[in-house]
Amino acid sequence: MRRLLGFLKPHGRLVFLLAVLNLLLAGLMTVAPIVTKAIVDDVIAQQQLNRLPGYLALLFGVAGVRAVAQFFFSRERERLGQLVITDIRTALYQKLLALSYGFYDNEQTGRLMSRITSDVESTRMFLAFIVIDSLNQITIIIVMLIALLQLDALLAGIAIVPTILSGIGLYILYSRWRMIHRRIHEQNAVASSVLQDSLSGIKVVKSFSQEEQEQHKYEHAVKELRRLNIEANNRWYTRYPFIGSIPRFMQLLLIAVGGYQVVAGDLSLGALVAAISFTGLMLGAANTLGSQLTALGQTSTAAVRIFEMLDEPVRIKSPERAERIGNIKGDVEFRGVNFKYPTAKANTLKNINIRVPAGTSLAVVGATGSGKSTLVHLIGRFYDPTTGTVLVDGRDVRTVNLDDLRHQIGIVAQEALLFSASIAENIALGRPDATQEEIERAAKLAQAHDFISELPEGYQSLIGERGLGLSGGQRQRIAIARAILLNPKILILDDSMSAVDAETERLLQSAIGSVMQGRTTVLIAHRMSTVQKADHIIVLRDGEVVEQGTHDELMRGGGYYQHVLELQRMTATEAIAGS
Amino acid sequence: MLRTITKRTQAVVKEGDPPPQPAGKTLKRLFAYLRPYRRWMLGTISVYMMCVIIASFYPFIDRILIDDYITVGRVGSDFLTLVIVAAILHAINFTGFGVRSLSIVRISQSLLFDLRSQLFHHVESLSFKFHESWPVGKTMSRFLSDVSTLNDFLTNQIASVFHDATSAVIVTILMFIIDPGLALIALVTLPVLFGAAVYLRPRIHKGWESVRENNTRFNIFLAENIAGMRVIQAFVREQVNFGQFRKANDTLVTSWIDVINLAVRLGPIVEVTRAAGLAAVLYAASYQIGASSKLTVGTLVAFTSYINALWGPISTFTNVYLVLQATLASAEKVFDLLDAQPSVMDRPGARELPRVNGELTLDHIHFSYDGSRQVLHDVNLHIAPGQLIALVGQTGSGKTTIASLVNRFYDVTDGRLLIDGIDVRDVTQRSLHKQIAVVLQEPFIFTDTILNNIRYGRPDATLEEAIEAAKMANCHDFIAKLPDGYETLAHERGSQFSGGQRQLLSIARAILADTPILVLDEATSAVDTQTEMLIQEALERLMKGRTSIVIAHRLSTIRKADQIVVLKDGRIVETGNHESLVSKPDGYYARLCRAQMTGEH
Repeated sequence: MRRLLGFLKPHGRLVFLLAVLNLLLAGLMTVAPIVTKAIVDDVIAQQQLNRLPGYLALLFGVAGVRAVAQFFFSRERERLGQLVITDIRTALYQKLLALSYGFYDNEQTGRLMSRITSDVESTRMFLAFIVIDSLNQITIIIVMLIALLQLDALLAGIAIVPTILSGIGLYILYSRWRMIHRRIHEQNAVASSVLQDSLSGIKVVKSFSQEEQEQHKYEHAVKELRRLNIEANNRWYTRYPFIGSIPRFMQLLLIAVGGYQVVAGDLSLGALVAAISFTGLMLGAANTLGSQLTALGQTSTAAVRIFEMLDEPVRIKSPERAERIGNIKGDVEFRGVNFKYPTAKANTLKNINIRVPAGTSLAVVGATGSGKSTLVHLIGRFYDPTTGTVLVDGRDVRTVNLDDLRHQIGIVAQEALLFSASIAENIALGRPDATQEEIERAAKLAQAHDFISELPEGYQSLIGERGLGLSGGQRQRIAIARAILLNPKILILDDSMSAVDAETERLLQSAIGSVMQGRTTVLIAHRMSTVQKADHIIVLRDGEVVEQGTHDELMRGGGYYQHVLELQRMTATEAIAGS
Repeated sequence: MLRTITKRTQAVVKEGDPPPQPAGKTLKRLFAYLRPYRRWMLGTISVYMMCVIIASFYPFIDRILIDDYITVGRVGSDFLTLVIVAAILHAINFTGFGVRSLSIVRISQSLLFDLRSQLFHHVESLSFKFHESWPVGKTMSRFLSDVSTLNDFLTNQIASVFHDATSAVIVTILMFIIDPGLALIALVTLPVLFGAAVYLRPRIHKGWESVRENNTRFNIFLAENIAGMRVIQAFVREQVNFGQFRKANDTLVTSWIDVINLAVRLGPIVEVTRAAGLAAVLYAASYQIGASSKLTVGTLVAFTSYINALWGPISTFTNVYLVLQATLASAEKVFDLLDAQPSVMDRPGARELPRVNGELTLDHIHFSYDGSRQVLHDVNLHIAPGQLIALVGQTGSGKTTIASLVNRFYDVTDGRLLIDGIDVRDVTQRSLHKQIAVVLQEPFIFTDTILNNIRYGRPDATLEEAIEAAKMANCHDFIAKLPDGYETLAHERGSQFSGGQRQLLSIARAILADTPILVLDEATSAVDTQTEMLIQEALERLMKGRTSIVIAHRLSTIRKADQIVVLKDGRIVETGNHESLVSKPDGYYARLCRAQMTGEH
């Protein structure tokens, strides 16, 4: 809670302004009953009609001032809300940018989205409306109590006891009630996740005609949501009326007791009327406060989740005095590297010692799950080794500036992820300042220029979410062009040619062959045709290097490599045999 | 790839921006959702009205207490009785408050459920054409924010409109009962308030529209950034994307502030007109004070309360208009989605397709996605039951299209596609899909247990059957090694599994579905050689005894095909088996083989 209020800190001035306006508004509220008292006691009781216009002018003038104050109050409150939401969103987004791959391995897009959209929105509501408004209502209650005290101590005493009691009641009620809101939110996330799954996997849903099952799953999740919401409200509304009804009872008590006092001559009629007005205003404020508390339950859990995410440790970041590296040579070395995923039982990489001299190529071969992908991701420091060191140009990657390091590395991932933007922008992802010529040159090298030119808008064609609308091969070629454009010293190809057809692959291979010139290349591939050209080959099995050497050396080894190669040969030669 | 781009623009025009519906029609349709709950709603509103009426009498009672008892000094048992009656009325009022709040929540939650499940059902039924052109995030926001807006309107807002309207009417009547002349004077400043509201309304509405649009754009931007965070980091795009983020956020915030600047103008107008009304009443009352003594203390108290009670609803009433605008906007979006027609629909009287043998005939098929660019030209093909057909050709040659047509994910533009001699358009899609299993290029794994993923096509399959299928698909071994085995929960899109593992899982899924026809879309890519051997083996078991249509680039797969169909620019250029095709040295296929071989050596 205190931390949440911390979001208001940078906007101290604005908060102060709002507090002043708030106090002004509450203070001005007391004027009307006091004027009423004067009207009752002076104008009506003593029949001094000539004083009335003056009082009315005062009433009207105060209303005018209040109107202006109200205007600024509402406007600035909204502005504060927007400033706060921007701060929180920015903090979250920066966090997202900073968090490493390890975080994303275990998080769902939908959940993260709901953090940054609905949770942030709830927090904004909480800070800008509930906090400020509740303060507003509380101020009104206090100011009214003070005004009452000025009027008559007994009446003030009658008002103060129920007010305190209802405050305590509300607090107890609220703290019990908020627990259920956490559950509601979790269930909301479940329902969204089901929805997202069915929409993203619609092709599978339809192919297996499982629409009904999906419907069932979704309805089940939404039904539970309904049940929880009803339960939460049952809890609230079966108890809240006992507290919410207190002020009017208090008002009636005031009339009864005050009535006796007036008749006894201890109190003027005007004072009683003013007291009723004061309590009436308190009543309104207390009711608003009550309904705001219901909203509070929904928002405070949201804030908790935002903090959870903001507190997520950034495991990989540039060290304090990071070494800046400009143009590197591209020498890559793994020294005694072990790696274990936090959730895994066994090490994914075991004692890896390899050196890839600048300008040479390393091919990583091995079965699925043998640790190839993990290995190549250590170079760009997307994960940190559990023990051991990864060195680039002889420097531990953990000591150099992270951005500098990654600028030197071009990665083509297994799944080509494109953004909703033009093709040109997608290719220029790592170098937004690239010229059209450079983009086209990269696209040509990646064998993507031809199909891009065929599009009606060419390089300016927009591609949709996740690059829908392009085939896997086309997307992959854009991803390759993207890496080529970077002109990196280290090129990492993570099985990048799996989704292109044979003819395109052949074209791509020669293109990549020329791109590899003068660069350190680490490639994961399954086609031996690609692998055998590498200067050095390592074979991974269960995270260990079981064989290494050049193609020729490995072919003599009679190991796994040779075995796999022969399997491939066999299928290939059979194909040839047919001709 | 011209097709996909133009297809999208067309779809957006058709399904995204329909002509605006008249507000009345949209509202009428919206209210139809309340129909199942109309009794509850009526009951709730009656309770609401009762509460409002009781509350409206508070100042009336206070006035009597002051004028008839306190002022004249009669504070005996009658006075106390009236105070107690007032207290009882208040107790009834708050009981009513509790009851109506509970029932509103009940209605609102049930309604929300109805709307969401209807929307879900509809979206599931929409064709591929729709899903390919609508980003998932956009559809999601219909389910989340838009549906909530509608729900809020139909329950809370409607109830509060009733509350406010009733309160306004009763208060006005009571004021006239107390003093018709003063009541008229009290209402004199109201037209100013209305005038201001009428002026500001359309402007505020426009503002909210742009807030909404900017919000959608912002959310799409975010969703994509989160999904693509790995790429962003790998390409050191953090600064650039942060800049984009700032810009998107600024646009959103600016549009928000703009509309708020308009909306907050209403507040002061309410305040000033109310004070003017009250002052006018008091001044007018004072004129009569000598003659008939109308300005009693009680009247003063009552009118002060009533003017407050009247202005309250009127000022929120202008809010209701804003809410209504937002509601209409959301309703139009939701209804547009509900009105989007599946481009492929069951014919009236479409029959169930009985279990087929798997004979496929493509009879003079022409196909175009957008009506202008032909993707398939006069495709003729006959596939005997149990045959393996390999579709070969470059990207964009029409392979995927043919595979999609078999499933009737799209309808042919011209010609016919027959399964066991039956036109696919004559049978229900459900019964058709049940005969065809699909293994996708990028297998989709649901956020569910491995077991449920495997038996996705046959949810009633037993664990034993699933294990059997997993064994055949060569994925039992790795599943068994998982900490929770078949009960392991897959992350979003099965991200903890490798591409090869996901493929094996999807093969197991297809094996268990046990359909006579199989469509395989480039499923043999993206894995290492050893896994590929496992996959090949699994696929062979899968394809056995089924008519299989395979889109593959691997010659090793194609080689086994009974028929190889070579496509180029949407036309079949060659057909035959491997031996016959490679013997045509100038043929496309033969060239392809040579390319593959030189690639291998």
